[in-house]
Amino acid sequence: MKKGESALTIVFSLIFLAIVITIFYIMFILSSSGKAEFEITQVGIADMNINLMNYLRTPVNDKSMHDLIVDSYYKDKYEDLEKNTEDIFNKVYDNDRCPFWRIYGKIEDEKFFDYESEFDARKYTLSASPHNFFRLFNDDIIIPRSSSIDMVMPENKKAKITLIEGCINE
Amino acid sequence: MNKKAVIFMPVFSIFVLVILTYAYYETVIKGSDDLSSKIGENQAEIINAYNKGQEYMLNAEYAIKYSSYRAIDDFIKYSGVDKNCNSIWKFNSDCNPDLKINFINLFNQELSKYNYKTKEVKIEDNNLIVTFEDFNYNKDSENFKVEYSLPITVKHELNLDIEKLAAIKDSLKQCAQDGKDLNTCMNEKNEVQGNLLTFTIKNDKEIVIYTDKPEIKKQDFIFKIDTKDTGIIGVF
Repeated sequence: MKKGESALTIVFSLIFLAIVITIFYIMFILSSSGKAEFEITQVGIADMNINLMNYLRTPVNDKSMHDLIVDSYYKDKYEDLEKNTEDIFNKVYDNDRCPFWRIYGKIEDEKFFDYESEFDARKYTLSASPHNFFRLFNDDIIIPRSSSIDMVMPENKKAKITLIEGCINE
Repeated sequence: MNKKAVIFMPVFSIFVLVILTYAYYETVIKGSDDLSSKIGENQAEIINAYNKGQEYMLNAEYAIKYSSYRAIDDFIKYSGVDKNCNSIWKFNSDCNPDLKINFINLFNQELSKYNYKTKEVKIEDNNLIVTFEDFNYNKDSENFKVEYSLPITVKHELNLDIEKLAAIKDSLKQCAQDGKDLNTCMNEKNEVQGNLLTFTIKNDKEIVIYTDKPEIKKQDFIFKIDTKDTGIIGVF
């Protein structure tokens, strides 16, 4: 083997080695962050269930939010429900950590109320901006989670209340 | 250049590639099921069991509320006795005003529509005390087992003064047994129409009946007694 060919072989081997190590480093990093999210998501959903139940038990005047949902449905008047729901969840979810929440109720697969936070999606959408590009590689991304509970209504109608939250993964 | 030295770098690179591929397979691909499915999942299952119990209890409370409203409506409509009695009380017969028992029967009928199973229902100081069958949550996975049991007793204040009605019933029964005039031995408002004595007991508490539109009702409790046929042989 000539001297020049030998040197080239060593150089290409070193480049190949560097590429292999870099690729595996990225693969290991990405796979480990996925596992951490899984853990947080599982426990987080349990927390949301508690939030949902506390919401239904929250007293409003001489009633509870559960009563208000029932009354709103039967009277077909939703102003009070909307106002009180927004008051409650805007306090529960601070805008910096959890900028997005949404709650809706369904009876027999038909939505009868649906409210959500004022959420500026543009702040969190990927764009050509290098800043947003790097959002992917740190923990500052919004993780959406949802939780539902069945709610007893008069006449044994079954309502399903679903809460969705979007919080920054920290 | 030494031939061995030239071969060393490519061989070493391939060796590193093989080692890293194997390590990735063992720790990430093969290990992903074992690790990701277990981290937090079992712990979350315990919280989930607790939450399901709380959800069951919350719904039970509201099922009691709606059932009690319906039961009160029927109880007042039929004057605390069977609907075939035409609101006339007659002691020691099918129209015997066993008020608490009759109310509990009406309540149980309504509650059964919500598919709740009760162990015991009783009334104390105008409170309905309902003990449900325990809530049970079981989950069995490969390395983890959850068995959660929650006894549930709910106390619900009745929107009806059933203790007062029971006291009135006892007084009337005593009057009839003593052979006294039923019209005069009670302070409650009453009307006489022939042999029929009609009592109206004031009730200030509201109930809500949900049909197509919610209807708020505040109804007085009205019942009748046939003075010639009270069901009790008086002492004259």
